[in-house]
Amino acid sequence: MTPERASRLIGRYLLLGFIAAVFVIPIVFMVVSSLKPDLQLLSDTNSIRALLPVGI
Amino acid sequence: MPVVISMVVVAMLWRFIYDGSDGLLNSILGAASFGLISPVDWLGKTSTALPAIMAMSIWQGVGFHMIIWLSGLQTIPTSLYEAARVEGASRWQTFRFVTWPGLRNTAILVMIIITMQSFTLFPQIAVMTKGGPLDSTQSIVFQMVERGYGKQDIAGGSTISVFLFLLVLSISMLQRWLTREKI
Repeated sequence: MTPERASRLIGRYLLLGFIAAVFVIPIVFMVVSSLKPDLQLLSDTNSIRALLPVGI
Repeated sequence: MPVVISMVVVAMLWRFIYDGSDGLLNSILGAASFGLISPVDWLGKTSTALPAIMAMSIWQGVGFHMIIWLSGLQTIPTSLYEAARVEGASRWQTFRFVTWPGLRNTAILVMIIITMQSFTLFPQIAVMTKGGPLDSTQSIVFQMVERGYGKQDIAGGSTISVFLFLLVLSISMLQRWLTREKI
């Protein structure tokens, strides 16, 4: 595989990964938030804990 | 996947995401820009409320239309692509002269469906902004419901619904006429 082809492939997968993240992150946030109490839900949105089911 | 979720649920979810003080979107943008992008009240500003609702509606509906385009792409004969390759067509020329003409009927269907759906914009506004801020996110259906149920002006709401029907019908017929087969 030539370096040019490799860089194009990496670029394509990065773009597809970003698009996939745009569609998946809100759904993960929704599922994870449904498992948390309200106060924890609102306080967790400022960090990565918003997407993690921690503190159950 | 967002297509299978009810629009009301999606609107409530994105109301949390768009929140001006504790919203997930502001947190992500702040973290990605290392604090350069300050939090924005997406649904509280007249300049960002309607684009925010549009982005959310596109996020929810793109999967449905993706399936329609995909099925349209699969109806294009591969022999046409082979002929284009033999003739030495570039990727843009192949798209312009093989793919896009082959997707003509699919494009007409999607255009008519999208236009009709756009006129029925209601759940997003009712859940997220209630027509505000400062009437920047008003829609015909929301006005109709607000007038008919909110202000108890049943006659006014009915009038709006009749005009909506005539508007959607005339635009759909115009689109159908503009996209007719020209022999």
